[in-house]
Amino acid sequence: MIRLQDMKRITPYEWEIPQSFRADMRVPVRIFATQKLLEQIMDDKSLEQAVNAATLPGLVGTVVIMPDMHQGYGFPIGGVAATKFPQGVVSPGAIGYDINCGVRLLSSDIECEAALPHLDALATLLNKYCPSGVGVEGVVRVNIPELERVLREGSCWALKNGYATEADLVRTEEGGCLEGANPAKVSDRAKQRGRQQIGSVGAGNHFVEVDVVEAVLDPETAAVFGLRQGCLAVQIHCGSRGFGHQVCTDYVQEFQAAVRRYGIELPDRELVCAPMDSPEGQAYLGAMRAAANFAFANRQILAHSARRAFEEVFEGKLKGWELRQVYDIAHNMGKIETHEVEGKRLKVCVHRKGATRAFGPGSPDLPPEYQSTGQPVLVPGSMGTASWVLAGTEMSMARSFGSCCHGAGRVMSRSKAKREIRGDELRRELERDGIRVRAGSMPGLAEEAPQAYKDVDEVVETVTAANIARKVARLRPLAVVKG
Amino acid sequence: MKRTFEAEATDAESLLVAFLSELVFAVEQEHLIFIEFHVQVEGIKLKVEMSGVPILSLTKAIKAVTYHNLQIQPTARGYEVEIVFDV
Repeated sequence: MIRLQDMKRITPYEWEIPQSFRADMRVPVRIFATQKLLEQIMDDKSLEQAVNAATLPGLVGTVVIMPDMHQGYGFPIGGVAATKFPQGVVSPGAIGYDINCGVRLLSSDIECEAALPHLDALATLLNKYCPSGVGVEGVVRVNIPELERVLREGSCWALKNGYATEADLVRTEEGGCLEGANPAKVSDRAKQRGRQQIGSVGAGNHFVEVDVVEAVLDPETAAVFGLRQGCLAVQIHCGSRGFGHQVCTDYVQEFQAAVRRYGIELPDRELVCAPMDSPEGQAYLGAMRAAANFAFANRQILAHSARRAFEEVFEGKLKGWELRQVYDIAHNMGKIETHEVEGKRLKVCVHRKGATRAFGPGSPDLPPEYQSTGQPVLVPGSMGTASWVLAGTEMSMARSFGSCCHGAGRVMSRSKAKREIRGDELRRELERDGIRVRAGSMPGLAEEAPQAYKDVDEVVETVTAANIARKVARLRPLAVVKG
Repeated sequence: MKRTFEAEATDAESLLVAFLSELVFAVEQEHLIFIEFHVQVEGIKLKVEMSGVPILSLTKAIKAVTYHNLQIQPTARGYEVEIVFDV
């Protein structure tokens, strides 16, 4: 059990668990949080998991934990860990089951006032064109050879098949396609699960949401991102569906034997790993990239579906209704990047689980138009609450391997939320607050109640006070579509 | 609907995860729920003969079987298992 007194307070927003805290730690743990946020998570296992994560072979710098942290499987959600390329390990548990779960933000010039009479119809159509819910299939169903193209090409497949524009790909992390995807390293089981799910949202905390840009805090950057105060925006939050879950399952299983082969001892079986340059490590990286590309294609097709809904509702009624891409980010991912660690430029595998890349100005990986601002960092709040658009900073490169938080973070388990909150009452409250809800399941809705999550404003205050991101705009929900 | 599942893994916990993962796949992809099992375990090898029926409706899906907190404890009444599913 880790207590506040075991940690060093560096600033009111930054804490450290020293490497000396436990004998098997290879690096310290750095936590971005207020004392209040830290005290909130003392009851769950996230800090212990952070210490466990610090035992992975090949770690450099520190394990970094974000203010929306909470307990995960093995590795905490809101965690970042970098291992030295090529002999450091890659760990599927440090990336997550929902590989490339992420968020896409689209913006428009539709003014909220003008859109209000049409929002009910829009919510209904989005619900129709963006399938969500347990066991619900996607709008695109492919055979296995075509699926393998999706796995290799990601958003590029979507572009070739009429679901994307060039501009969409430019404004997607990695252009919507990770190189080195290897469908041959993906099991048949995973391919079976994936081939009918492309273009589906899933269930749980995944959603499609219509927002209004309620406040612009940095007008210059907001203009570059394409965000206009008082105008509509759309967020799409989902990942690689059953496909990604199966890839992670397969490799967590396979690596149970790999750790024995490589003589790696770990405090948690969900942390299993293999050296990046081993056949096992290479196989996982190939499969993980395939899952990442699946998710990029998935969000691209959902964006296409959202555009279809907007066109049907607004074409002929309002000018400038078109949805344009702001950015698409991943928050469960492993990437080979170069970072400065203790004065040296090192090539590392950055594992981010429930953490978003937040590259600052001047990063060569960003599209030309975002070179001066840094990349958009998308932070959806819990259902019915605000979401934030931030921008990456130079400081994030120095302090957190170019990473930031990803959302509000759970504080209440799903079962507790379902016991304490009635889905239909919650729906009525949301509708009273002017938020149209299209939800497939009332218990599912209860699980996602705002009380089950941290305060996203406090999470955002923490990362901005720590200077690993800066505020650009705040979004308020108008309609939520979920399973 | 009858089926045989076979697996070899590093230990009992891994065998259990492999078996339950197979059931997750059957529910999601084939809409089948298996209800009768004849289980044979020999060391690190598992063989299960099972029979199942089609699922009519599904309210909650298990997306993955995890090793989180996984414990298999022998007790006087049999084995007690703690296991966490990602839902």
